[in-house]
Amino acid sequence: MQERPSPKGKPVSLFVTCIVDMIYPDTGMSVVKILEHLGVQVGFPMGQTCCGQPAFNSGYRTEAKTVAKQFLKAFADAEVIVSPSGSCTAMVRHEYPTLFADDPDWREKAEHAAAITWEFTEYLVDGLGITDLNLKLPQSETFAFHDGCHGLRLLGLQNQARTLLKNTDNATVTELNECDVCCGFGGLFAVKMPGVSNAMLQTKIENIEATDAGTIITGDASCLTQMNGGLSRKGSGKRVRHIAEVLASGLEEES
Amino acid sequence: MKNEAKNFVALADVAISDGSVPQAVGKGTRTAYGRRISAMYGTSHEHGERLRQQAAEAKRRALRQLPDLLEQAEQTLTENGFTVLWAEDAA
Repeated sequence: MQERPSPKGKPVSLFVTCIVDMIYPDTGMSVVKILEHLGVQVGFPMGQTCCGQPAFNSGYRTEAKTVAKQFLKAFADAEVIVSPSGSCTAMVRHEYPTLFADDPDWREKAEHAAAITWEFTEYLVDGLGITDLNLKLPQSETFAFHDGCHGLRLLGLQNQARTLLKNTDNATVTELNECDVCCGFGGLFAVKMPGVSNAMLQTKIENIEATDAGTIITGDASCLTQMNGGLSRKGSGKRVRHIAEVLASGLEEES
Repeated sequence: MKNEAKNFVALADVAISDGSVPQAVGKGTRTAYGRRISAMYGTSHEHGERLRQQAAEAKRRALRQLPDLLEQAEQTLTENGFTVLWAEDAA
């Protein structure tokens, strides 16, 4: 695997992802607030679109490449790319180099983008070496974590978000049984196989209901949507929140 | 309904509504999962991580040789009486 350049002291280009852009803009704003709180300069390339993952996962490689090229153009000047999604980050980090392996015009650009792209909590903990953001939540709360499949299995994300929250005042972290098992979303999987997807979701909901935590944290807005849909339809009082939003609620001006 | 791949979605819905199937799949999954964790990480975290690296390398190697491996598989399958059809692309 390629040695990754350190992101320390460099400006960040935010890769906000489709779902955050269109459904959860507060998550994107939360990322910006945390990064600016740390004194990091944040830019937003306006030409950014989808990373191409839905097409790629369905086998439409040519179409995925067309979308990926737009991403590479939009982020051509980026020194560091940060994204609030394990799934979209994994697409750029793992699949782009493979997608363009036989394309001499784009291979280097794809490998460069892969080397400078970080998931939000990974950027903070592994990239900048920050484990304590000096945050205090407005009130005491108990949290548990759901590990999204792509972040966990393709990027090795598990301890980063937990570490940041454990070191936040007023936050208690507890366990969620089977936290590393899929919530059943899986992008187009949920559309193609709704019955199986829902059966997996129900197991996840049972585990969420059984934990002491009132709030479940995840790093992917798509898993969050799947689980919150299930919780809401069950009439549960528990909800899933994005790690960036919970951390940002602990910033001084927020409390 | 015939037990064929094209009927998977509809058949899956039938299987899910039969309480014993999800129970059996759940039990099998949890057993396999638990044993995998203890086999990989039971002795040490490093042991498990080494196995993951080894598996990742095996996957990369297979992907690099995939066209040759697929043709090998076609030959063996044909010799054993199967008919192999090739899709034009992955979509």
